[in-house]
Amino acid sequence: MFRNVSASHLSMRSVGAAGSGGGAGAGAGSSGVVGADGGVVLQSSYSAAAYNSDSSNGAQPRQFRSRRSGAADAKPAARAAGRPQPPSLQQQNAFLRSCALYRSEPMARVRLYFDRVAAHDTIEELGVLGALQFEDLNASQSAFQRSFTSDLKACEEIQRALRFLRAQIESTPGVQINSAVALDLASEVRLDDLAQHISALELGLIEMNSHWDALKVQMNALVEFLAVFEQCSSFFGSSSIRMLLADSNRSTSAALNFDALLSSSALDGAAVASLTRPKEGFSSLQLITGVIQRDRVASFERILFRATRGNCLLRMFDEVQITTARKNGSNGSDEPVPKSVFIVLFSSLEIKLKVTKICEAFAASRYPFPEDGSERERALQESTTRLGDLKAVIASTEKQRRDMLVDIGFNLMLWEHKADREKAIFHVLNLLNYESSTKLFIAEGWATRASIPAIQEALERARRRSNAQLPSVFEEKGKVSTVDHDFHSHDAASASPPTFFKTNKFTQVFQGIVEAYGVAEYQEVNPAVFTVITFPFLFAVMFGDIGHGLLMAAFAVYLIRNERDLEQRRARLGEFVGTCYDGRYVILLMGVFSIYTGFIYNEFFAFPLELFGRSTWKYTESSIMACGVDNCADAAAAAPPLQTYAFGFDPIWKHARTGLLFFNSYKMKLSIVLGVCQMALGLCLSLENARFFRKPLDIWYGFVPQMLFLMSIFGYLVLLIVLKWLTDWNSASCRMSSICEAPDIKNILIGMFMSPGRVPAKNQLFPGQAAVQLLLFIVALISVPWMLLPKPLILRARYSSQLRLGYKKLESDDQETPGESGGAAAHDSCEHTGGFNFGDVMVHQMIHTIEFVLGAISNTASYLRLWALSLAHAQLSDVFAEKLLIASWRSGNVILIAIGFSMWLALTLGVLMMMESLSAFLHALRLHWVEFQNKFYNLNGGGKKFSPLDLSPSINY
Amino acid sequence: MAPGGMIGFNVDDGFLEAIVRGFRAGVLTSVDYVNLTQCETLEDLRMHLSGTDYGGFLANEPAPLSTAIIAELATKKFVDEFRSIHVQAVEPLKSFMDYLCYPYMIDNMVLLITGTLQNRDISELLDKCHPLGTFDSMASMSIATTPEELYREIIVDTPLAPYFVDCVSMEDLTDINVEIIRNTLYKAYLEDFYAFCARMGGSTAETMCEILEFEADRRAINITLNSFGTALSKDERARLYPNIGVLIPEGMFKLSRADDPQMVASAIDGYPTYRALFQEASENQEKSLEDLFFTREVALCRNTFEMQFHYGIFYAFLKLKEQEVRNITWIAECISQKQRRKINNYIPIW
Repeated sequence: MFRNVSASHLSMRSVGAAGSGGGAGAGAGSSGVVGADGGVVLQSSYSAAAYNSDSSNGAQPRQFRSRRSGAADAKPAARAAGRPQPPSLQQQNAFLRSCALYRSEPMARVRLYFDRVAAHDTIEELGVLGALQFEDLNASQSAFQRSFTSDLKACEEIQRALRFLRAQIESTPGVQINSAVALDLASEVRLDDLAQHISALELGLIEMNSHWDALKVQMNALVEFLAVFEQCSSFFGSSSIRMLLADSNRSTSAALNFDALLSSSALDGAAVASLTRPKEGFSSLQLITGVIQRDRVASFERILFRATRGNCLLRMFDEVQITTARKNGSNGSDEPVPKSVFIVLFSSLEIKLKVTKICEAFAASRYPFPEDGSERERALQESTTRLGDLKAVIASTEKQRRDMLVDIGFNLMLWEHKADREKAIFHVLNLLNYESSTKLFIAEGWATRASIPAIQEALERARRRSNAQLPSVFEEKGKVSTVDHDFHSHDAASASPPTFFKTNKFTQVFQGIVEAYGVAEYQEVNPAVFTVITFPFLFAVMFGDIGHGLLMAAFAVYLIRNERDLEQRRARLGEFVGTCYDGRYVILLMGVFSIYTGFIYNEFFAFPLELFGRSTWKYTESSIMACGVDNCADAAAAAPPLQTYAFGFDPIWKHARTGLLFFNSYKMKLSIVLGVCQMALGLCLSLENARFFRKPLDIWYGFVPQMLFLMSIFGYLVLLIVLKWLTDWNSASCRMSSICEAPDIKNILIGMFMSPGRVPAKNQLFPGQAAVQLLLFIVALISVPWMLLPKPLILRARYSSQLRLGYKKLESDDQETPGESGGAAAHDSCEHTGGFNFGDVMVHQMIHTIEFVLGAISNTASYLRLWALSLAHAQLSDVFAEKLLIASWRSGNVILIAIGFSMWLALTLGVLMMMESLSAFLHALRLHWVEFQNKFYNLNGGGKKFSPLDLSPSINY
Repeated sequence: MAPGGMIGFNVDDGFLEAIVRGFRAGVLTSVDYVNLTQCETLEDLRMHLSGTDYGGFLANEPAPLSTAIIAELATKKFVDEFRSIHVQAVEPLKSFMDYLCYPYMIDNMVLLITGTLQNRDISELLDKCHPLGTFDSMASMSIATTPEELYREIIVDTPLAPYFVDCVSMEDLTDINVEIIRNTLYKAYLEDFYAFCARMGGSTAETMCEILEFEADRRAINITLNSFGTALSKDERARLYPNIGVLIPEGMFKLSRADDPQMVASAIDGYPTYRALFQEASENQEKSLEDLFFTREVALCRNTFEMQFHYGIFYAFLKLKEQEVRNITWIAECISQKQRRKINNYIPIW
């Protein structure tokens, strides 16, 4: 454990160094204007690093422990160190373990043998441990030829039943699924019992539903009948009926034709009622009453009219709401269906047949309306009592069903988890190889070297648990190490180990930023280490403002303080807040760094602060220019102050007319300096990779010429910038000289290529400049063919000498030693795959060379975005402050001030804090992905992420 | 801007074309079929299908699976896909896709009429109807007793009304008359659709006309072959032949005079494509002429995906998916009836 602690300090120091590397640029760039900021950078980045080391020491093992079920947390490191290993390897491992984030965890190809009896428990233990990524040993078998397919099907059957139960619960209002059930109990539930229990529950529920449905159908019929009854009664028994009866009595039968009925819509109801009375002598008029679904009314009406050629009369009443029967499918619905009562009146038997058919076709239920008064009474009474009984029965059925669902809901999550888990286990079992002669299962896969003791313990635990006779055997196949990896192995692609970085809650988001670009190859240098500091720093260069930084940091602090609470609600946070929550530590660092750059830019919501004393410039009437406070003897000379402002920009620049020019010049140069520094760091990391993977060709014909090229042009540019900053262009001696004028750096650089060996006097910055420039020009020229030619030629020479010696590619050793080659072998695929094609290699190298040479120019220019965004940010916040805050303040009107302030606040939050920060974030991201990482990271794109079987309850499969 | 042309195609239909091409990627390949034919039980079949684009479409079905359920849900899946495209389509693609639904309407209508003639329960019949061919007053089909009533009460509301005009004069609904109605409707539909596609111009006309001509020829040949031994007169039969197709005019004329399969074979002797199909059918006992026609249709549909900026792929998607469901159903039937010998008689698509 002690070794771990000290080691992580070591790694943090390297992070601090990276930060100071970035900061040194700022320090160098601002020497004239800014004071001792280099130290501050170091300090602030170091404090961030110290924070990092805290969290990596504190949080990481805790996380580890919770996942590894508490058994072996401190032991692995000690055990691994105690194992007999070759000294160089041990040294290597100790170093690697110390820089957990710098290179991915060392992996081991492991092979496990265990008894058939112990197979299930073993996989379960290993899954709970979550440290082993299984490889498919039966790739040639199709899905249903594998041994555990039937078990998988059983799991799927359980899952199906569980989905049914869940749907039933969710469609029943008032029944909740208990989400607080302890998922840890999953290992105590037996799958067979669960299957039986679930299928019994499902059958019970289906039976109950069908019972309920039958009752519901009966009840619906009664409700519909009562509705028809009510409508018909009110229709035939309305107050006007008697009057109209008398009316119709007087009229002759001939007068009563349908046209008259139809035309007098107000009267028709009553008139028809009178017609239907047998005693009136019009018994030929008949009626059909019933209920139909409301959405079918229109077409029902139309068909009815067409089929009877208008010889019928239809009345609709939109009254009834009927709840439908519950389906036994997954989505049982309980929604009420609107239905309408209808009355059809017609005169002939032929039409009656047709209407009956139409009713059937439209699934309309018909209910006869008793004509006799006493019969009507009896039917009404009967139906009402039956309805009352049915309602009671349905209520008790409903309660029973609800109780059952509540019971199910209590354990449902646990069962679902168990079923998912068993399915995962059987899936893994399907990947294993079964040796029928020895009755042993063979599993193969990848594990981090550090977790090997834990795996062995898990094996032993599982063996004991299952009382297996045969011991479980752990075997590490061919040591995977980058030190003594075999240069001539050919199976790089199939067997390169997966990449796994042990992250904590602080570093994981930076790792995420890097991995969004691509997964690192095994043991490749991980840029996330540097990204921790450089990313927020580059962001802050574009977002420098104390006020905005404070807001951002406060937001991040709020998120971090409520971490525990938010973590539980993570799934419900929504996309925006959720993303912010995931990135809370990046946001914190971005905020803190913005405060820092804000101090340098001396901006607080676009207002300059006088924190480090008053301005060192003053304005006198005698001159059009300002002069230094302590150096104003001759005001007309506009001499600068002797003592510069203590830290950051002098606040007076904000009000000066030349202020913008001054800021632009400074920020532009700063961007170039930072960019060249970061790209040089990227090149150095490629050197580190080449050294680590033992590839001297990449050092001598890759790194060296590339570095020379970059330094001879852009390193020189940085040198010129610094020299120009350091020269005092206002010194007395310089003022006397007629040629002492600040040269244009652009012109110097262009002149270096256009007229090598000659420097005009106005471009002269230091003595001997012409010779230096000529030398650098020649170096840059030479380094291009240096990058291009030697590597392919040497490869060809090696290949032909191999051929001369009669070596041939071995075909069969691929299966024998899949573990022996490191991921590094992929780098050499060009060199060692059989059939060396010089043309391909040459074209490949040519593309790389062109890309680097052109990229060096365009990437440097690309860093100017730092300046552009910083300018945009400063100007936007300036405009908002000036036009809204100051303008409204000057007006003196309280209402105007309130409006101005609220608008300023809204714009600051909406435009600057949200949109502008997002844009700065994206540009920082781009600078890291494209300009920084393309120098060394993931060049072959062959990285694979380590994805172990993990059965912990928090995982959603 | 011609609807069938390249310019402007993507304005309205590019998105949907892309969607269809995406669905096309989900069509089962020959590898999938090989795997499917190796299944021992329907459960294995379910497992295999869950690894394809069909995904979990059978996941919620309880254990004893039936072929009918598989066919129903597979149909439902592509119908849902088709509908999702249909609702997003704008004119003229909308009309084009409406046309694609009409054959299913015709089939549904005929199914309902024959069902009612045999006094089958209407709700049972409705379950058997193809979901793409549903129309409003389908259920009330049973109330009509004569073609005239049928037209006046029901068909007049449906898009099939213009095709039905020729059938109104028929006296009553007998089995043979229903068949004649079906074929007359089909003929009118094919001619109308053909004219519609030809109007579109561009690649749409190119691809669709070829397919529809084949469709018309196939119908003519099938009508002729099926008419032997029935009461259908030659004149009546000739009236059922569509007025499009490569067999026009000579082949159709010869077909109209054919008395036995031999004469049909000689009628199409001048047309290499069909002659080859006939020859293969007579040589190969395993494959019927019907299967070979389907194979040819699949090939034509497959070809439509080789071109861009036309509506043919919407048609082809529907037909290929339909064929795929037929294949799955066939394989499932063979598995459940233990007829493994015939299991390879499906028609591979890709």
